[in-house]
Amino acid sequence: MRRSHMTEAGSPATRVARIVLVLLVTVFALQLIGYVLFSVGESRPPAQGRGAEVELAP
Amino acid sequence: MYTTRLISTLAALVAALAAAAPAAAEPPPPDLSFEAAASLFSTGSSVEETTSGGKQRPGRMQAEGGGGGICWGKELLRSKGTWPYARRLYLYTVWCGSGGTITYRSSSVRTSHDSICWNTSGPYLTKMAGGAGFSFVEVQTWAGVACHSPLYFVSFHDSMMLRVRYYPNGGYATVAYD
Repeated sequence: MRRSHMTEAGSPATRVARIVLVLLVTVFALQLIGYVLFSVGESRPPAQGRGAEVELAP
Repeated sequence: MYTTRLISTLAALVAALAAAAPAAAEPPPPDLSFEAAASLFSTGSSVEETTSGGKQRPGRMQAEGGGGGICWGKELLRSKGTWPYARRLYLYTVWCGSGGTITYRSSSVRTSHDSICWNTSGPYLTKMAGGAGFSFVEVQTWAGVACHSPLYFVSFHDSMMLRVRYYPNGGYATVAYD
C-alpha cells in the first residue's frame, strides 16, 4: 500500500521541531569541539634555566 | 534529507570560517629585532630599573648602560589552547648581576593570539619582589583573554599568568604560571 506524503515527512510542525532539534544538537557539538580546542594544549615555561648573555648599549 | 542538507551546509560554513582565519597573529619572524618587533605590537608594556635610581620608565625595551656586571636576556612563553584558540603570553627580561646582587632589570610583555582571540585586559607587568640591590628579582605578567566560540557571539574566557624569578648569576626560575 502506498503511504501518503504527509505520513512520510510528518506534519509541518514535526518537521520544524526536527530541524530545530538537529540545529541545537549541531550547535552543542560545535561548541563542545570548540571548547576542547580552547582547553587542550599548552606550553609551559621551563622550571629553571639560564639567560643568554647580552650586551647593553653603552 | 533535510538533516543531511542542514549538516552539510553547517559543515561548509565551519570550513569557510576556518579557512578565512588568517595567520596574522603569528609571532614575529626571527630575523626581526626585538625592538622592531616591539614597535609593531601595540599590546605590551615594559618596565625597567637600575641600582642608580630605581626608576621605572614605561615604553622602553632596554636602557642605555645598566647597573654594571654581566647582563642576560631571556624571553619566556606561556601558551594555551590549540588552533584556532592558541593564546600566547611572552615575557622578555634583560637583567644584570654583579657580586651576587641584581644591578639592572628591564622587562617587557607582549601577547600573540590566534585571530579569533583577543585581550580582554592587559597584558600587565609588575615586579613582585626583590629588584636592583637585592639577590633576586621576581616579575609577574598576566593578561585576560577571550576567544570567539563556534557560536560566534558567545566567547570563551581565560586568563594567563607567568611569574619568574631572576638571579644575578644569569639563572631564572619559573615560580608560577596559569
